[in-house]
Amino acid sequence: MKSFGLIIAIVLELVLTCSLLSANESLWLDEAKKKKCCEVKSDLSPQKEFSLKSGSLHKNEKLKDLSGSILYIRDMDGKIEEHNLTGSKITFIPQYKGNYHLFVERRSVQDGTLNVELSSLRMYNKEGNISCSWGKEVRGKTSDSRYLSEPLPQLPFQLIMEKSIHRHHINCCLYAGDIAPFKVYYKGELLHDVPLSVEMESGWTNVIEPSDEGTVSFEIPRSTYAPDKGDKKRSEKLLVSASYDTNESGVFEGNTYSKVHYTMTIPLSFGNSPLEYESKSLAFATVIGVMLVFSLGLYYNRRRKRKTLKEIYFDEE
Amino acid sequence: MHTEHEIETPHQRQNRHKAMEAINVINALKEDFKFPIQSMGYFYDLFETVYCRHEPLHEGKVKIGTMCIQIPSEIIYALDGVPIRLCNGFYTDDEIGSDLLPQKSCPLVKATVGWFASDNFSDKPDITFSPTTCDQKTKAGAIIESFGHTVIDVGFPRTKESEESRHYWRESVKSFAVKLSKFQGKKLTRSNLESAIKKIGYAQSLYHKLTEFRKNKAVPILGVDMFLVTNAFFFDRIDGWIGAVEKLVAELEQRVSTGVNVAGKASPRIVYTGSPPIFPNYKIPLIIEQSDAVIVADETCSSNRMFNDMVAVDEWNLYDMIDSVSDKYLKACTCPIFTQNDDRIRRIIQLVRSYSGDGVIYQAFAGCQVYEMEQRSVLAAMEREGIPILYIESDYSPSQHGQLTTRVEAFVESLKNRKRMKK
Amino acid sequence: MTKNKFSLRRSVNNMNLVRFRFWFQIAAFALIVYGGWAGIDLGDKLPTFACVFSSDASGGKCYVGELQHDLRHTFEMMAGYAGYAFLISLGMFIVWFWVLNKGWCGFVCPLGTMQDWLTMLREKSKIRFSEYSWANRKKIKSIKYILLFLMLLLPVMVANSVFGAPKLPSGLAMPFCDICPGRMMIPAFTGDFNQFYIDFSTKTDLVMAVLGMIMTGLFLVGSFVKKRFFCYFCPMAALQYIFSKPALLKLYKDGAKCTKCGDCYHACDMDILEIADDVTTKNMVTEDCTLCLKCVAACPEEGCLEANFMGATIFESTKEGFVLRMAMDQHKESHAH
Repeated sequence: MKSFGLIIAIVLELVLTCSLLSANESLWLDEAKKKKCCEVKSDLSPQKEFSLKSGSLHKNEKLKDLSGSILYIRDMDGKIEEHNLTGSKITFIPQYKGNYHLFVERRSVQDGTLNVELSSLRMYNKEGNISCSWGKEVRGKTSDSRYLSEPLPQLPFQLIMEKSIHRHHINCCLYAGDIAPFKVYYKGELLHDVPLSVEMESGWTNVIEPSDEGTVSFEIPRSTYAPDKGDKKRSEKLLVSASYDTNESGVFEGNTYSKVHYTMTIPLSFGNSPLEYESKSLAFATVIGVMLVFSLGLYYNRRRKRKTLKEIYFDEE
Repeated sequence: MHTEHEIETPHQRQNRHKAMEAINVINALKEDFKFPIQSMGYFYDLFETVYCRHEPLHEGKVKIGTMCIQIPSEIIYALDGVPIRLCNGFYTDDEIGSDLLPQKSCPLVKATVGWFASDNFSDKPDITFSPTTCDQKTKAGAIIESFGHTVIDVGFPRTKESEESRHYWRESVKSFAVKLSKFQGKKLTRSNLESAIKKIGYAQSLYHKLTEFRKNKAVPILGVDMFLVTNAFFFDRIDGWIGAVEKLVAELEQRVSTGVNVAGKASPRIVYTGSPPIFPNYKIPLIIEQSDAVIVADETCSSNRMFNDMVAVDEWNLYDMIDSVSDKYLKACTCPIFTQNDDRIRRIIQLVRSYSGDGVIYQAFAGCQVYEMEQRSVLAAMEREGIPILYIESDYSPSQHGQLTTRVEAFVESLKNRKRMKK
Repeated sequence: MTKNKFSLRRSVNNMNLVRFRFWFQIAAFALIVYGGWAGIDLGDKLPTFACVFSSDASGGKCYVGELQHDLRHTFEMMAGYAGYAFLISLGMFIVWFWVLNKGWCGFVCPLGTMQDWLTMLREKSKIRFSEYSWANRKKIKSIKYILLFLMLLLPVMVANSVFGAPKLPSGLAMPFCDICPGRMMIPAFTGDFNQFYIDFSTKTDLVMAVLGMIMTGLFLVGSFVKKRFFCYFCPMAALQYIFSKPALLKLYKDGAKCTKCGDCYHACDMDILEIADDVTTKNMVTEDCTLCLKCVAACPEEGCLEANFMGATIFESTKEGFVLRMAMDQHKESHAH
């Protein structure tokens, strides 16, 4: 009897987790990488193209109809633009060189529950419109605006990635082994008990619980299929999402709802950990080795030259 | 009748003659000029003590003789010695030396050799260092050694622009320091060299203060007095010298504030250059100043050159201090023994400009090959700059006095005329 | 009023330059290496080393890093946005540079400050410094121009095929940053030793990383024995010297007053012969000069050397200043510094 009960409990757990997973049809923003031939030249900065994808990282499809969604674009000065989306593509021309954060919000009512699906994406614009940004070029501000520090007021529920912790020399990007911290905000307040789910391209998933302070962080795992030889620097995708339920009632597009289900995703790219192909101890050894060789060489050279005046009757005090 | 004659020994006669030469000059300085300076009394007494009464100054100390200014006195003071510069200005000694050196030799070298030959010193050097500067001093070293004195040669380069010559002189100084410290039985340490450099630096800064006063329109001190002060540095105790010069500076400051002028209002200002006037061979400077001119600056190794360039040290450790000391004695040296003499010409021109000189008097010893040879280039340069220059040759003999006076007076007159015409 | 002005001038001319420079360098070091933590950001066109790899701590970024980045664009892009960006960067660099001329090297650069600290350590340990012979010094003068040329050429060749040559691997995109000892040393002062690594991913990266480590080792030992060892090879100095003529801060020499005593040459960290031996030229900022003004402090002649800002003399050599700095102003026995 007891073993039978145990088996049923395990099966129920599996079913629950599976349903949790299968119910997790995530939605995220994706940037379309243009081919080199279509790079725009001269003064205009190139147009950036984005789409919304749904599904899992491994198997997904683009959403064909984006109407009803709202796009927020935040530039490095904190200015926020709002757009209503139509069609199947999101396009905009960034004016300045630097980091832009895009946020997408889609609402729909299903079974009396308002589903608010959010996604954010950071993109880096390499070339800005020089006539707008020559002031910025002259100023040459270098402080990092890659990470958001405060939640966007327009979004009721937000997942924010903070500055990741590296143990290697590259500051710009994410790599396996880096610790990525996240914070979850609801209507401007920090939530302390919302877990984070992580999904990788290989299908590997995990759920991370937050710490006492409200930060939830995890170490980016090594890619399952990372090659030992060949291009050591390829990058892979990672999807981070958080969800939250509240009991709010209201009406949206003629449908009433009594509960609200918020979901936010952040798609990330990470590369192979540099520590896989780097050696720190060898580097220190090289530095010290060079120093030793050089100083010994100098020392013997000086001794050889000094030998002629060995009888110098000098003394230093 | 039987009277007791005390026959003079040669040394006593020599001393008497020298005393006569010395007292002549000292009296001339004391009495022939207006507005005598009180603080100069120290120097008059000093020269009387040493050259008239022949009293020793440095008893109980080791005296290191130097034949030329390039031997670094800083190292000598650091090693607890007393540097005595042996350049001699006495006609008495010159006569003794004439028998030992060729006829056409430099009178200064002859006098020095004669002095050593007679071996009549009040402060006898225990060891002498002779840098190989001019030909005659170079050869004189061996001659002096043959009289039984200890002479060590110190190699001095004849060029100063190249890396090798500078390096050579640095090595020379180091080897000089080794030899001296072995002789003294003392070690050259960081602290004693540092204090020697600073003491001599202070003495030099006092001289700079003195010469600043000579830039004024009303000159408070005579050129011959300045020559006396700087000559005293050859052999005086350095602390006594420093004390006396400090008092002199204070007195000159007072004289400047009251506008005392030892020369006349229209007296031409002369820059004196050439062979060094060593006491008591102040013939030419005295003639100049007795002819109603005033010497405001000079470019001679017995006066300005000793004090002008100061040692600058970057790192106060022994390796750097020794190199700084050797560099100072070589690089800035404007002695005519070098191959190029641009530095000397520029120096004379700079002195004329900053001291508002009216003319230059270039005096060379008859027999001094290097000064005589430089005459051409210096005269040409002065002509280009429009500075009047008089070239005189002289030696230690008292016979030329009349001729020299005539020439100098004529030159001074022409300078006065020039000044009047300018107005 | 004139009396006040006279005293200010006199006290500036009498100042202890070594001590002033020591504290100024510390302040500049703190600003450049730690300024970012205090919220200071002077931009990324600074004419001094302020490492891009020390991202939040530095108070600015060095222009050399920006320059290599700017040049890594295709020729088509150089004709458009990238070209304008390059010109603006260069223009800002020149404007920053003109304020202090080569004084950025002598007073601000953190690598220079580190070298001066190593020199002070050596001086305290009473170890003699090394000097180059004149012939060797002439030979090494061209190395910084070669490094500058390579630094300008290689990024262009990474992005373009120049004269039919194949594009260079991306490991050569920041060639000078790879070998610069500042990349290792400046973050090290903020506790970040992550820049000490050897990258085995590609051959190019391996070679460049090893070169970087060798340069760091050479930098540390070289500047211990030779004053300002790295400054002879610095391509930033080469780049700066090209624009040095119209700058605002200058070093002027009055050759007529010079006695060629060589005190200035003796004090010069960079062993510039011309400062002592050249008595005709007025502008003495040569390609090696770091405008540290040690020569002015060591000159015993009145008014011979001076530091001049926009036509006004701000610091000149005086007899009184010399005597005070060498602590020769009384015949008591005390140490200068």
